[in-house]
Amino acid sequence: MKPKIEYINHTADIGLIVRAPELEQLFVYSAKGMFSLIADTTSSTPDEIRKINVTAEDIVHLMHGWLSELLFVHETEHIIPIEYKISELTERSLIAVIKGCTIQHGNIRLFREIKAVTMHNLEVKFNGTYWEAHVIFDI
Amino acid sequence: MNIDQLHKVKDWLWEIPPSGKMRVPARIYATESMLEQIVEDNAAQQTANVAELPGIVRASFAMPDIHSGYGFPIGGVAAFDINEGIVSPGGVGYDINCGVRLLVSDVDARDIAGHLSHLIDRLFSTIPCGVGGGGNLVLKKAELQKVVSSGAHWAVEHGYGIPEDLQFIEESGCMDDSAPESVSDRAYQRGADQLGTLGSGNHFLEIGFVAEVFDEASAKTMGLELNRITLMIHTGSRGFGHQICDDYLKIMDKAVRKYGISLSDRQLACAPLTSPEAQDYLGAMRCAANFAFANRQIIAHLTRQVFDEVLGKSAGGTHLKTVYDIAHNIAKIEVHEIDGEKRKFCVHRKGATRAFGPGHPELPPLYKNIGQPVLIPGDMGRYSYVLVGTQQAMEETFGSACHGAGRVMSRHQAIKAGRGRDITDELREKGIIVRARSRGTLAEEMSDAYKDVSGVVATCVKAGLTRKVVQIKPLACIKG
Repeated sequence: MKPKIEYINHTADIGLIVRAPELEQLFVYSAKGMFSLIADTTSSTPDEIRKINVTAEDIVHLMHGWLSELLFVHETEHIIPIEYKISELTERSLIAVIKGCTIQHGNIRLFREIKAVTMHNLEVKFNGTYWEAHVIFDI
Repeated sequence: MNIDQLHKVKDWLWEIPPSGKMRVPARIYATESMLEQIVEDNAAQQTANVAELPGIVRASFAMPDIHSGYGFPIGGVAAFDINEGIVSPGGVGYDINCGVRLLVSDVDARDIAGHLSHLIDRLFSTIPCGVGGGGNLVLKKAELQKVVSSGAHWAVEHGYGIPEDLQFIEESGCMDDSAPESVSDRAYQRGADQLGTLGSGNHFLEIGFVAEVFDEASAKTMGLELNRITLMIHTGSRGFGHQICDDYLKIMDKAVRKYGISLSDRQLACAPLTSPEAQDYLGAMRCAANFAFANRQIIAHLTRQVFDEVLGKSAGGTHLKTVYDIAHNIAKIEVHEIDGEKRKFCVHRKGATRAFGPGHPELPPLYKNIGQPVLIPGDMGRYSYVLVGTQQAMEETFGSACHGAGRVMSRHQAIKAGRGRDITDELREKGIIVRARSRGTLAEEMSDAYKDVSGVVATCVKAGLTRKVVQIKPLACIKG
C-alpha cells in the first residue's frame, strides 16, 4: 500500500487518519498531513534546513512530540516544512532533518493556524500489515 | 450516553443524575430541540465525565452553546473545592483567556457608511492576522515576563491605550499571583512576536452597530445607544498560551498517576489544588491570561489609531471607549456562597463566561447596579449580543453563562457546504464587508457553520442566568 492521509471531522477542529506500510512513512505523512492543513506547499522551494530531535516515553507520545516540535519550528521561525528525512527512529526517539520554505509575503498559500496537537484520541498502532495514526488538532 | 438519560428539570434545564463514578449531577442548560445534537456530539457524556473529578461542587454545568471538546466540553463550567478539588488545564483549554473585548464609538452607523470600506481595509493592513501573522512588537523573555506579570497595565504604560480602559477589563486587566518562572522558554519563544496579533480560526475583529436595545437603562450605562458603531475583538493568548497548556497537560498526565486520580478520559488530566503541580499551572495560566489581556489591549489601541486616521481625531480624545473585556477560557479562585456559607472555589470556565450579578465587589463601579456585561459574539453574518449577569447565575452556576453561538458543522462539513459559493459576495449582499487572509477560513467560519446565537441567548435568559441588553449587527469583519 501507498501511504494515505484521510481528514476526519471534529465539531470545532480537524483530525487526520494516516496509514503507511512503514513507521518512518507514518511519521513523515502525519507531518505532511498536518502542514497540508496549514498551507499549500505544492509549488514551494525549500530555503531552510533544521534538525529535529525528539524523545518520548512511548510511540504515541513520540508522535505528539514530533508534530508539536514541527509546529513550534513553524510558529517561531515562520517556516513551512516541505521535505523530511528521518535518520533514526525507535518507539521512543526520532532524529530527522527537515527542509522548509520561509513564509514571505504571498509566496505560500496559507489556510489556517493550528494551535496545538492534542492528545485527544491520539493513536499510533500497527494493524498487522500497516501502521495507522489518529491525530486531532486544536484549530 | 443516550437522550433518555437526560431528565427534564425545566424547559431549559436537563439533568444527568449521578451514577457510576459521578460525584455530582451533570446539568445542561438547553431547549429540547438542542438536546439531540448535544448527545450525538458526545458533549453530554463529556459533561458527565467532568462530574467524576475530585472535589467538584454542586454540578458539572453545560451552557446552551456546548459542543464536544477534549475531555471537558466547550461550554462547560465546573467549580472545585479549594482543599479537596483539582485544577485541570483541559478545563481551561489551549487558548487560555481567549476572550472578547467590546468597544463603543462616538459615531452613528448612518454617518459612517462612506468610510466603512476604508476603515476595514486599514484595520486589515494594520492588525496582523492569519498564519505567520507575527506582530511589529518583538519582545525578549525579560520584557515578556513584565508583560505576563502586569497584563493590560503593561500595554497602557507603554502607550497602548488609556488608563480608563483598565477598569473595564475583567480582573482590571491583570490576574494577580502570576508566576513567570513557571512558564517554559518555549512559551516565551512562541509569544515573542505575537502581541497585538489576532490569529486565525474563529478569532475576528468586527465593526458593528447597535441594532436593537432591550434594556434602555443598562444600554445607556454602557454607552450602547441605538445605531452606535461598535468594535468587537475576539482573540486570546496566542502561541504563548497554547504552549503553556501543552506543557502542563504533560505534567498533569504524570500528576494523575502520582496522586492516584481515576479518570474516564485522559484529557481530564489534573492535579489536586494543594499540590505544587497545580500551583505551578495556575501561576503559568495567569501569565497566559495576562498575555491575552495585553494582546486585546494592544489591538484595541491599534484600532483606535485607525479610527483617528480615517475619521479624524475625536473631540472626546478617542472615538472608541472600552465597554468591557471578558475571558471565556479560564480557571479562577473565586468566593461563592453555598448553603449559606462563603467559601473559595476554583471555577473552570471553558467556552463559558463570568456572569456576575449586580452588586458583586469585582464589578467596575459603573456597572455595580446593572451586573457584569456578558459579551456573546454570534457569527459574521447574523448578530451578537450584550447581556448582563444576574443574582440567579451567582446562585446556580457560580456566576457563569454562555460564550457564543457554538458550532453546528465541523470545519470540513462547512468547507463542503461552501463549495461553489462566494461567501464574501453573499455577505456583501447582506451589507457586510469581510476581509480574510484565507478563503478556507471564510468557508469554515460562515454563518451556516454556527448555531443561531439568538437561541443560545434566549435559553440563558429564560434560565435567568443573564438579561438581554442589546443586539449588535455586523457591518465589516476581519478574519485570519
